[in-house]
Order: sequence, then C-alpha cells, then structure tokens
Amino acid sequence: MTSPGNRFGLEVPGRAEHLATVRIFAASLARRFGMDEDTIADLKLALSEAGTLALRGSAGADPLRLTAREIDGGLEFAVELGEAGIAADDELGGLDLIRALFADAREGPAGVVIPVRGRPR
Amino acid sequence: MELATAHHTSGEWDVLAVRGEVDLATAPQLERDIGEHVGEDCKLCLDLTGVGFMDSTGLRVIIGALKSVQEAGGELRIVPGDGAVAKLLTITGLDDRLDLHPSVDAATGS
Repeated sequence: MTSPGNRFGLEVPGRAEHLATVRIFAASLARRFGMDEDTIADLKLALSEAGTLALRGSAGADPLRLTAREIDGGLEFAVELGEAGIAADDELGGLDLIRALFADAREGPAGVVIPVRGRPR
Repeated sequence: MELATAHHTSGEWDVLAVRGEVDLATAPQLERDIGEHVGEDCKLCLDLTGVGFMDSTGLRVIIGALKSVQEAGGELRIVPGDGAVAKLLTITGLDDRLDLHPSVDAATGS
C-alpha cells in the first residue's frame, strides 16, 4: 500500500472530543507503517497539542483537519490551523512541547507540521 | 475515551484515582473533581497510574490544583505511574516542581 507521496486525511468537527479520534487515526496509521509504540505515544501527544492549538485558534469554528503523507523513512503529519493561527502558546505545551518530541516540527502554511521518522518495532 | 475518578481516604489523605485520557475534552471534568476535595489544610493525593494519555491541558489542571491546595494551606502529592504521565512531567520539567511518589501507599504513608 505504501509508496512515497501517499497521502491520508481525516476531517472531524472542531470539537474537543474529537481530539481522541485524531490520536486513534494517527496511531493506527503509524502502526501500519511499522513505527514503534514509543514513537506512536510521542506522536499522539504531539498531535493532541497541535489539535488543541487549532481548536483554541478557531474557537471551534473550523473542522479539525489532519493530513499525513509518506516521506522517506516515515510520515509527515500536519494539523491545519485556521486563519487565526495559533491564538496562544505557553510554557507547558504547544509548539515547544511538540518540538521537544519531534525536533523537526514546525508551523507552516499547512499548519503544524510534524515529520515522524519510523523506528521499526 | 471518557475520564473517570474514584475517591477514597487513606489515613488523613483524600486519594483521587483517575482513569482514562486527559485532554481538552476531559480536563474540565478533572478540574471539577479535584476541586471537590480542595479545602482548608487538605491533604490530597492524585493517583494518575490509570491515566493512559495526558497532554498539556492536563498539566494545567494539575498546576492549578497545586496552586489551589497551597493557597488553602494543604498538600498535594502525585502518583504519576511509569507511563505517559511520568514522561510528560519529565519532558516539561514539572517533575521537579511536584511532589511525586511511586505509589499511593508511599504518598500517604500507609
């Protein structure tokens, strides 16, 4: 099923209860790509942080959109941010925490982008 | 995934055992449940060993609880377990700011 450039997506209503849906979707995809459980745990945390930033930025007005595309050696996830972008970030979480988990994570036009290199199980 | 809390006492300590996942959706419930056990000179132990996932929203609840307990002249002890919560506390450096214990028995001295 995999070849470079494969893309996957999930769109759910912009409500906090769907953060768990985002985590489940991403974890399932990461497992299919052979990532180890430590990496998957980090991914779930990073995406929950990114999703929380998106929800706070849009105040629930926009759907929560997650995309993933296959990259060399892994997957690159992106959580779309609404026009408002990141409303507020603080010392406990947000982008700093995401970057502590995945050093190459960044905020870009596609939203919060998190490249995840697979560590085989 | 839902969040559930269960309360019991151990000596002079109120123990609140938390199970489930803590994120933006469930943090308000956790905040309310903790708040029910914060009072003057309270001794509150949060057992987080049943928490399978927590993000920074949950950390904010814990920090808020710490402030409330301290303002009330009480004590807050945390049992993080050895999973997701412990790792999050380490990454964020909060393991140095909180009173962490390996078990409820160790936290409550029972």
